This record gives sequence, C-alpha cells and structure tokens, in this order.
Amino acid sequence: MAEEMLRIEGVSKSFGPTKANRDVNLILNKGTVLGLAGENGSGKSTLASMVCGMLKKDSGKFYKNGQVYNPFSPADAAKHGVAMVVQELGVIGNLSGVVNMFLGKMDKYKKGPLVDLAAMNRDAESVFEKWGLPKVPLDVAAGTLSIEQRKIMELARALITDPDFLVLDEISQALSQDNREVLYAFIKKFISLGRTILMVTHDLEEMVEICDEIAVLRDGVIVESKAAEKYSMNELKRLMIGREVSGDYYRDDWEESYQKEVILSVKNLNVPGKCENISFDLHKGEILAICGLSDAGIHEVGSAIFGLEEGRRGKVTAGSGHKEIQKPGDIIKTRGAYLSKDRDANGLMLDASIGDNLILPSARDLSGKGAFLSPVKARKLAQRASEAFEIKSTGLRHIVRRLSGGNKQKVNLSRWLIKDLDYIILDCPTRGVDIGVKAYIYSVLKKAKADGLGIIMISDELPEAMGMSDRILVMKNHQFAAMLSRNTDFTEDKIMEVML
Amino acid sequence: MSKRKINFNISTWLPVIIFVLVAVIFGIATKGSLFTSTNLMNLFNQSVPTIIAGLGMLFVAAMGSTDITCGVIVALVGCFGLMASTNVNPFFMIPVSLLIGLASGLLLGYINAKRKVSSFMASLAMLMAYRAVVNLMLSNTSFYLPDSLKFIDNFAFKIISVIIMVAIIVYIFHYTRFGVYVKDIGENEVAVQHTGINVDAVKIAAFAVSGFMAAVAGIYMVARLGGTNNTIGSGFEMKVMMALFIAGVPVQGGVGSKVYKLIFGAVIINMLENGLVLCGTSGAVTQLVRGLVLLGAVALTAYLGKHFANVGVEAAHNQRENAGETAK
Amino acid sequence: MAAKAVKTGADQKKIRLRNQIIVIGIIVAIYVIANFLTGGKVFRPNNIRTILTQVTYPLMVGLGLMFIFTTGMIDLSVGAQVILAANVGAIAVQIYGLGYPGLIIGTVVTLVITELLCTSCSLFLKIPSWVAGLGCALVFEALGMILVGAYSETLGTSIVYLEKCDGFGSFLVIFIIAVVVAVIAYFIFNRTQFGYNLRAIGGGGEVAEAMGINRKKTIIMAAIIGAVIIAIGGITQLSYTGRFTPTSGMGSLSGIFKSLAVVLISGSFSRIFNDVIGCVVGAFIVAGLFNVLTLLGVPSGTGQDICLGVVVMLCGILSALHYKGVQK
Repeated sequence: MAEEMLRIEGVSKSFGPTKANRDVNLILNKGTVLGLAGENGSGKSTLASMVCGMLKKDSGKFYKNGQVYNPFSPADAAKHGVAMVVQELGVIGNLSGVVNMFLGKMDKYKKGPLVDLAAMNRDAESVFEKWGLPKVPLDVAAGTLSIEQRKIMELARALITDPDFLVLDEISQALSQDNREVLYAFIKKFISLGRTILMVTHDLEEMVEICDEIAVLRDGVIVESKAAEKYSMNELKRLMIGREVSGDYYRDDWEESYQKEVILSVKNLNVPGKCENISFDLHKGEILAICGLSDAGIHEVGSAIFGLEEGRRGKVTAGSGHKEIQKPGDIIKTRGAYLSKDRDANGLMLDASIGDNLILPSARDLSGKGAFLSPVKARKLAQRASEAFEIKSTGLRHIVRRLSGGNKQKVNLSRWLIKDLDYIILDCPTRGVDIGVKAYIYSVLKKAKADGLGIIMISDELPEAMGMSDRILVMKNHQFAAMLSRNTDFTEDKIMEVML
Repeated sequence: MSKRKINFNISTWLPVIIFVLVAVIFGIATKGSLFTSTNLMNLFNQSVPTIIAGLGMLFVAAMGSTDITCGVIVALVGCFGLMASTNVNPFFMIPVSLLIGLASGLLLGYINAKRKVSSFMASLAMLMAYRAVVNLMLSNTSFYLPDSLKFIDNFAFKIISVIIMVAIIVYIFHYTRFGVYVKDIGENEVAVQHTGINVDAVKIAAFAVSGFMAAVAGIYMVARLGGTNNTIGSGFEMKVMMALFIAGVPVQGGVGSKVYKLIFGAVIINMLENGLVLCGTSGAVTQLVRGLVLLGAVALTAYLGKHFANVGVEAAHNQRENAGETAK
Repeated sequence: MAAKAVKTGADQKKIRLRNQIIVIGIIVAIYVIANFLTGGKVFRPNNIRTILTQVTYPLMVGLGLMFIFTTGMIDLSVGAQVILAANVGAIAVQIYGLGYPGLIIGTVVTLVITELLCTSCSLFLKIPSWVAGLGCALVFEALGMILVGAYSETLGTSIVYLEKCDGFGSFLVIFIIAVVVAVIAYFIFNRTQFGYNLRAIGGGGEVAEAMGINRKKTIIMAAIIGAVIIAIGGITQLSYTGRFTPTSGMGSLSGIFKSLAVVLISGSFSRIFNDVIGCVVGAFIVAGLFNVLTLLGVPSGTGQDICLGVVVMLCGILSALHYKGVQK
C-alpha cells in the first residue's frame, strides 16, 4: 500500500452559475504521477489552480501528508512543498531568467544591502544540473526567450524550493520532441524520490504513457479514476467527451440543410503562427462549426476573418457582391457580426446599462436625419431586444456587470441578432452560461438558421458542435484537418480521429 | 425591493447637491455679497469660457482621455487671432482662431489614437511648446481687440450664443451616434472596436471638438479682456477639468458623462473661486482649496460609483459571483 | 536545442552591446557636429563644465521619477514637491540656523512626506495617479507659496535665498553627488531584492503578486526611495542656484519637464540600455540639446521650451512604437 501524499476531499468551486468543480475526491500517492484528463472547461485547470493556491475553493478540504493544507497563495503553497508550472503564472519579460526564478524567494541571498547574484546563479545552475534539465540562458531578459525555453525555466523555478509535490499544467505542449524526452526522464527521477506529480495535458497518448493513474473530469465531476494501464485510448476519449448528445435542446434532424447561396467565402486565410491556409464557404441558413483542440487555432480564425489579427493574408469576401473584408468595419457593412470568445473584455461595456449595451451595434441604423439618434427609437429597440431574448433584469438601466453570465451573454447576442444580419461569427457562444440559457441560445440559433442567417460557430465543446451544426470544420495544429458533414460524419470517433 | 429604489442613482443628483452646498456656504461666509447683481454678473462672465471649453473637453473626458491644452489654446487664439485681426481684417480673428483650435485638436488626436502616446503626456508636451510660442510672440508686443469685435462681450450676445452652443453640444453628445460612441469608448474601447466602428476616427474627432471649443472659449476670453497678454489662459485647463470632475463626470469616462453635470460644475467651480476671493483669501489659499476640492471630488465620485449606483440585493449577489468569474 | 539556446543568449548580448555602442557613438557624433556648428564652443573646458552641471539635476530627478513611474504611478506633482521641500530646507538654514543637517533633513523629510501623500491618494483613494498628481501639485504649490509668504516679512525678500550652507553648489561637489546617486540608484534598481520586486511589479503585477511580492509595500518603498533621490537633486539645485521660486497655476510642471524627457528617453531605449543607464544617456541628450540651443542663441523659456515639448513628444512616440494596447 502506497503512502498518501495529497488527499482531495469533497472540493467544490463555482464561478457564478458555472460549477467548475463538484465534490471532487482524489487521493495522490507518494512516488506516483496522476494525470487529469478532460475537455476544455471540464474543470481540471480549476482543480490544479486550487491545489496551487491560485484560486480559493468554495468547500471541501485538502490534506497533505495527513495535515490540513489550505494554501492562500502560490507563495504559501511553496512553503508547504507544493510547486507548479501553470499557464497563469508566466514569466516577467523585463527581468532576467535567474531573477524570475528567485522572485519572492530572495531573502536568503541577501548580501548586505545587495542580492548575491552569483550565488543565485550557482543555485539555479545546480537545479538545472540536479534534475538534468536542458540549459537555458538565464542572464538575458526572460521576454526574449522562446516559449520552450521559458517553460523549462518555469520548471526550474518551481524546483528551486525543492518541492515534494509538483503541478504541471500543459507543459509538454511547448516542448520539442527531444526536450519532452528530457521532461519524461525528469518526471521519472522526481517520483523515484517518493514525490508526487499532478499532471494536466491534452496529449492523451503521453498521459497514458507517463502517468501511473488517470482521473477523468467531465463538467467538474470525476467520472473515472483508475490506473493508467487499465484505460484503452478509446475509453479515455469517450469518458472525456461522452456527454450524452441527448438533450432535446440540440437539433433533431441529421441532415445537412442550407441554401445554395454563399454568404461568406474564406480563401487561403493565413496568420503567421496562428492559422494556415484555411478556406471554406458559408452558406445562407447554414451553421458551420469550427472545432479543434484548444491550441489548434480555431479562435484565431474568427478574429482573423473579422480583421483583428496582424499580418493576415488571404481573401475573405462576403455577400453576392463579393465585397472584400479587410477591417472590422467591413463586416458590419456587409451585414455581418463577430462575437469574441471573451465576452467581458471584448464585447460588453460592463459598467454601462443594459440599454446602452443593446444600442451600441445599432447606433448607425438608428440615426436618422441630421444624424439624430432618437432616444425613443433607441429605447424601443432595446426594449424589443430585451423582451425578445427574455433578459432577466430590473430594467434597461440595470448595470451589465451585475447580471449573471447567462444574462450577459443574452445581452451580447440579442443586440446583434435583433439586427437584420446575413451572417454572424460566434466564438464559444455558450461559454460560462448555465444549462437553461444554453438551451435558450440553441433555440435562438435554430430559429435564426431557419430565417436564413449564416452562422459560424467556433466551439470547444464537441457535443454542441455535433448537435447544432450542418458541417464541422476541424482544425489541427493551426491547419485545416477535415470538413465533416452532418449527413454521415457526425460520430465522436470520426471527429476525434481527425482532431487528435 | 421596489424597482424605483433600485434605479435611484445618487451620482445623478450629486452636481445639484454640491451646487446648493457651495452656494449656501459662501452665501453665508460672504454675508450675501455672493448674490449681489454685480457679482452674479461676474459669476456669469467667469463661467461662460469654462462652460464653452468644458463642452469640448467633455468629449475627450467621456473617452477617459485627457486634453490639457485648452488653456494654452486660449493664449494662442489671443496671440494669432488678434495678430490676424490687427494685420489683415478685424473679423479674421474668428476663422484663424477656430482653425488653430481645430488643428491642435486634430494633431493631439492623431498622436493619441494612431501613435498611442498617452493623451495626458501628449497634451502636456503640447501645452509646454505652445506656451513657449506665445511667450516668443508676445515678449515685446501686445495686441488689442478691435472695436468691431467688442460685440462678443455683450451680455445679450453672450447668453444667446452660449445657449445655442449648449443646445448644439447636447444634441451631438446625447442624441447622435458620435456622442454614443465617444461615451462607449470610455466604457470599453475594445468592445466598441469589436462592433466594427473606426475607433481611431472617433477619437480624433473628439479631440478636434475639444480643440475647437477651446478656441471658441478663447475668443470670449480675449473679448472679455479686450486684448491679450502672455499669461492669459494659464491654469484655465485645470479649472475646466475641475468643472468636469467636481460635478461627477467620471475620470475614466463613460456613460456617466453628462452635459448638465459640466454646466453645474462650471458654475460651482467659479462660485467657489469667486466666493473665496470675496472672503478675502489669498491666491495661494484659493489654489490650495482648488487642489483639495479636485482630489475630494474625484475620490467621492469613484467611491459613489462603486458603492451606491443601482444597488439591489440580487444585483450585489451577481456582482460578487461575477468577480469570481473574472478572477478566473 | 540546448546548445542553440545558449548561443542565442550570447547573440542577444552581442546585439545589445552593438546597439549600445551605436547609440553612444551617435550621441558623441552629434556633440562633435554641434561643436562644429557652434564654432568649437561646445568643447571649450568652460562649456563642458556647464554641460556636466546641467546634466545633474534632470538626471537625479529623472532617476527618482523612474522609481516612481516603474510602479505605474504617473506622479507629476514632483515639481511642486521639490519647490516646497527645498524651501523648507532653505528656511531651516536661513531662519532657524540649523545648518547642513537642517537643509538635508528638512528637504528630504518634506519630500518623502509629500510623495507618500500623493502615492496614498492614488493607492488608497483609487484616484487615477495622474489626477492625484495634478491635485497634489495644486496643493503643494499653494503650500509652497503660503510657506514662503509667511517668512518673507522676516527675510525682507519675496523669495527665500540660500546664502549659508551652499557647499553642495560647487561644480565638483554636484557632479560627484550626481555620480554617486546614479551608481547607488543603479545598484538599488538592478541588484537588490527591492529592485527586483519593483521591476516585477512594473513588468507584470499579477504574476509578481502570485510569487509572493507585496505590491502596496513595494510601491510605497519606491515612492520613498524616489523621493529621497529627488530631494538630493533638489538640495544640489538649491545650493547651485541659491533659490527655488514658488510657482502657481501648475507652473511647477515645467520645472520637471527635462526630467520627464529623461525618463521617456530611458523608456524608449529600454531594449538597448538598462533603465538607469538610459536615464544617464537621456540626461546627456537633454542637457546637450539645451546647451547647444543656448550657444546658438535660442532664448530659454521660449525657443528652448518649444524644442523640449517636441522632444518629449518624440520620445513618447518612440517609447510607444511597439505598444498595441489601449491608450487613453
């Protein structure tokens, strides 16, 4: 019987209406690697962040070595022997690597008023040597290092406190093949000392190979946890995505259905480092989903079409007149719209009222003679949008920041759909909303489709894409991987096959 | 919780409350001499340029940006406008002045929107350079207002023209899409960009309006003074900025920016200074009070905006939840 | 891969060194050309002494500002603070006969207090730092005027002259002090734990806080250190010129404009020079520019200020060249 390192008992965490973790129970033993598997939004990063002290849990308990462990910050976690390499904790670009590594931990390097840089360098070197990590230049600003070098440096930074528990969140994605081998060797060495690693990765093959045990999270709940060798690859995938595609809120037909007329045509869209050679046509009355793993470049395709990505090449045309789209204004002129994934930062004016938010996209259409924007007309439009989309609030003067996530998204969507559009690009339209609003948004999209609206739905939820779209464009490593049709190709296996 | 109560917003009434407060305090402190007809006339004459320049600066402030060139534009107007009217034709002063204001605003807008220099820094540098130009031009000459332009300082003309200007600005600021965009940029510039609006163009236009109105204010100030000197307009930018902030126009801009707040603010700040002078305080103390009032007003607006606007039980609950979501 | 990584590190250093040599070469070349244009006046021993003296004040205030600005606080009340603090020091010497200790303690303590007040306004009252800076500048200018006004009767002059204890005013002493300050600032900024924490806060506040750095404490420390450096600059300038004339209506801003230019230049060179070295280079550029302008007969206060405004603007544009975010 292995000795226990960390026990997670009944931990829950919610963000607004979204339950990121629900009653999670896990035991991590000494000398083992536990992998957390799950789709985007399944709650694995939230769980890892709570263990690291970056997020506070709502309820439940952690025990480390039998003691209650309740970290309030990453620095506090470090005192308990917990270290991490996570995406949220990047490097500070204007400081040198060695300073980044010792940030917040410099007390013991004080030499008079100064800091003993040489000693820090020595200790940093010894960490690299001890764990056999590839050398990274530590004396230049961290911002000038490559992503791979930065990740290695972050790993070294985590190891400085000599932790006995390490959280690795998506570390191998940034590494080249030979450095992955170095990482695997490091992991072996680390656990051979009776220490523990909690690993989050999208690469399932890697996970099965490296981890001793794998826990699968889905919608914030652990659906399975057992020894890694007991999983088959297919079983693992099914457990991750296997949300039932029941839900009467999706479409009930299984056929591609759209009109012949092409509304938006994308040809050889290129954005350096983000997406390569993407081409497709969007038809009237079609829902085209764009899917891929989280770093496949699906979100960048949306913002690139809209004209926000720098260095974009290729041709995007809209409508029967084949008007070219180059800058954000062109989309609006061709009766289109783009809704970014980050609703709060890029979409809504959080401190303004619902009414102000609803009017913004229609201000141009509402202006009449002498540029007069009638407040009566504006209020009527806002009222109409608010009523049509059943936005729950105390009135149009309600401040948007104080709405729930679902209602915020309703505000965001309704102000566009109330306009007479030809096409719309939606990036993760149901992110962070509860199931009720989700169903509502689907019903709205179904209706819009029936009215002839062309919809591009960028989604990181496969069931949603399969449930709603006519065709799915699958991307892999920033490139086009496949175009699947609702008629024949909409099975999980088929999609996963091209996606992974 | 009744719907009515939720919609009550203290920052709507803040300008009126402060106005009454200042009026009462100085009414008593000056033993009523604040309200003699001569002094009210003074107050009116002092407030007019503040209101006019403020009408322009409102557009910039609503975006959360800053334009502190208005005082020095007044000086430029005095210098070059009167130079044109003395050397060419008396009425040339007006087009020359307006062009100066417009050009300065366009330049500032370009530097802020396209070259991404903070508008505060950029306008500070412009303030410095323009002031030097004025000093250079007026070092050993002075200009006087031609008689044919004296009508500008006439009370009837002034009040009518101010009312017309306020009406036009209210129309543009509250009833056109340009006004909506300007305020929305203050709320969330990225969101406005995502609705396909050319944010840079809106910004440049807002700065142009600000420069233009500063020039108009300059014409009135020069007319009031009957000529110009090289200190005209110095400190004016602070006065206008305080007129905006004292009455609760939020420093970060946004939909809380209102024309009526500016007008109250302009009268309040002039009443404050006028009252202090009547009380016999020195220039230094007046400035001290101005500084403290500026800090107090901005801190108060920030505090009120955060704690009292549209608070309801459910709303507060959602806000807490959303804070968690944003933290993620 | 690993071998390649090490090589890029060395390459980067080489490129940086090359750029450093190029920039310094250009500056030296400009000095030589200027020397040629002015008929050899620039390199006369007397003039070199003047340049070296003129470098010191903008350099020291610039270094102090750099500490404060790095935390994200754009505090422009520093000009008013220096005037107030230097006058406190001068009064301690002239009226209370406290000698050098009075001069140093009076100035330093006053400046630390005023800077902490201004920082607190922005840190705890949530006032945007530039507004807090403007408000505080008004207050501190007023306090300076009131203070000097109160003692002017005793002195019989309208300004406080430092007649005793002006040992810091000779060329050699000023220059040595400036060098020492720059060296100490370099070590604090680049070699101490506080310096690393400060730069971490400036480079990415959230990551730094997650690493266990106390943001508020670091900002307050930066304010204190910045204030002490600025105070030292103030003392030397007071000893050199013999007085600090109180200003009103934001006139104090122009007193720190050269320092502002120094900081902005340092910012635009941040890829090439360490920030402290960048300040030194910036101070030589600014001092050289004004020295040449003076030699060419451009009057100070007018033509030179125009140049200064243009220089600040260009530096702002340069340092924002690669900036892609939202700029208010």
